[in-house]
Amino acid sequence: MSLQTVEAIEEYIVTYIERELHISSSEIDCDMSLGAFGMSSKSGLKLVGLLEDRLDIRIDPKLIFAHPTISRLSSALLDLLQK
Amino acid sequence: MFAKSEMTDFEIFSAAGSLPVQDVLAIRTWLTPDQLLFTFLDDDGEEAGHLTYRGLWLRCRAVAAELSASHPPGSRVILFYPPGLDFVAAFVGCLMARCIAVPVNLPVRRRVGRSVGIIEDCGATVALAPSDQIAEFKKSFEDTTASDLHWIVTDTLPLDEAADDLPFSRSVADMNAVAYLQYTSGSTSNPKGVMITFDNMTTNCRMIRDTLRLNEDSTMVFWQPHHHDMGLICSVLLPIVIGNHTVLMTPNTFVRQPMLWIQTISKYRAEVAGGPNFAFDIASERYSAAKLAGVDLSNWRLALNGSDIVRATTLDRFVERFEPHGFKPETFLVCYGMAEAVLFLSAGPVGRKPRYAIVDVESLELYGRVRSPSSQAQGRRLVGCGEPSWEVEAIIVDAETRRRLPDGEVGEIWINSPTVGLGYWENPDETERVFHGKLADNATKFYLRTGDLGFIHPDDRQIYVCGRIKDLIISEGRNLHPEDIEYSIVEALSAAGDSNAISCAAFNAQQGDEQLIVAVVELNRALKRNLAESGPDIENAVRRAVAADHGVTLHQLLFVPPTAMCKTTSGKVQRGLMRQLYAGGALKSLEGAEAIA
Repeated sequence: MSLQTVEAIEEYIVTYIERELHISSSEIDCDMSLGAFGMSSKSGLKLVGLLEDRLDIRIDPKLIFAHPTISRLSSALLDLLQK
Repeated sequence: MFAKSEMTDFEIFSAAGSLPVQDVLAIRTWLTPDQLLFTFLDDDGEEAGHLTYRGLWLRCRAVAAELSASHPPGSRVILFYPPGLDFVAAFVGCLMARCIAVPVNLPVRRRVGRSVGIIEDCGATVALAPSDQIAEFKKSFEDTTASDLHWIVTDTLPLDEAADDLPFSRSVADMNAVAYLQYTSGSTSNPKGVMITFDNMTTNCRMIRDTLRLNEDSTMVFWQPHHHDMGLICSVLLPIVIGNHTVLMTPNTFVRQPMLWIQTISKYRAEVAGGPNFAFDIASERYSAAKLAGVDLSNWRLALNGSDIVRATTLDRFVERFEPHGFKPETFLVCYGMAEAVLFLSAGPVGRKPRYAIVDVESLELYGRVRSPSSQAQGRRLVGCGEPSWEVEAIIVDAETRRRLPDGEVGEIWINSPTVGLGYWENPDETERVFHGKLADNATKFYLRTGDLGFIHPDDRQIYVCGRIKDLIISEGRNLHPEDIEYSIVEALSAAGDSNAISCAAFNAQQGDEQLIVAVVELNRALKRNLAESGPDIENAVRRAVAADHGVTLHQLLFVPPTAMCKTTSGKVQRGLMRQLYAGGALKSLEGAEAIA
């Protein structure tokens, strides 16, 4: 899976949340706040690390706080990628 | 003490093992002032800070001078620092001023309450913090009982470059005075601070040095938080004692990029690095061949694994992953210890592969005996947590009769060691219960009651830890480990469509003459939905699993929201508290889930 579109990044994050926080993907709304899924600072940092590896960029962990929904985070990540 | 022109290597070795760490720092500053002691890495693994022996000495002196000017020896000083070198100077500075250091986690968001509880418990009137965060921390205590704390910034204190005058006498007259308080046990509402003396601290560092055969060439890499015992001892105090170079990273860097930890071990040719069991799991999970190109782990001599249950499968998987990079199975050093005895009690022998005991589950659960498995399905592989240090007496005791049990039988682990602390700060009842364990036939000797359940294997002298004693579940005369029942429940729930990290607490509850087995499960969204769809089926599957695995009836299964689940700061479920809440009628299952079954 290459993460070159917002949709692909969204799907990657949804899969992570499903696995890490045990929430079924059908329950995950990309416009909901990440905090509402029970994302802790530890699971957030793990996600940042995984995304860094997949996208091959450095990501400031604060990006999650600045863009706290899956869709907003995905757009911000794509912007970073295209820079 | 320092009226000498030189010291032999023997003298230095024994001084480092018998003087408190601030005096050892004085000697090393005199011997090797410009040698690098600490390197601190930023989130990218780049060097972001350094301290030489003299550099640390000057900074500690500045902290001590500032503290001594306003606070008498014995004052409790609370330390709020992010990971980094400022903490080291602040902590050792407190020791120099003979103030009692109280290292805690940062007071942010929902942790403020816990900080306030600790400040109230220990009666601290002064807090130390770095200049760039002090305003934020101060603000978090507004409108709390801790709002009148006196704050001291330590990282901008002026250094007296002329402070090379080394002390001519020991800095501590009474080695049995309290050096610091370690708040790791106890709940948020009832914090318990272990009183660690200068002698406890000094002795434990010496025990680690000797058991692990550490010297000035033993470069170490650590990322453990300094408010936990492992981070405080291994990454702050031990380096000064052994006189090495130590590389520090933050816990966040590790969680985000576990491979950076592995790369750092290779880059600095570290001999010592480690963490709790989960660290090795995360590193295996995030293994990346691309990132590890050229990584050489052949210098890694000791991979410490302690402070949590050590799993054989974790060790296997890590070896499989990292053996191609030069990691050797005998590098694993499984350890046992606890904050009540500073940190370290047992490990090793070093340089040998971990020891395993394959025991019969039924025999272990039913009779508390260690036997070979009657069939393959009955076998469970336990990992040996090392031989006790020669300075430690570890015995296995029947907690009810307070009689010593023979090797190979399961009981409570009791410890007599010069590293056992004085007790819990201003808590005589808990101190008496935990620190003053006495055997039925010998009331003259005190033991620390660890609350851990385990055995000493007659074949290999290793301590094997099976669980916690006070959480034991008794059913029809059988002793069951709640971990085992919880494991079955979580497995059954996973099979019903949820995966592994569901928290669950299983315990006994008295009803009339009957001992019931109750399990409380933390509800998450997926579980909630599954229960709505097929609640009775799931509950039945759980009961079936518990019965099949352990031969006992699970009487009650409750589902509660995450907020109702009591956990320690490290995220472990507090069964004792959950049991109390249940007994007091304070636990209500959501959606009448238990009524269905």
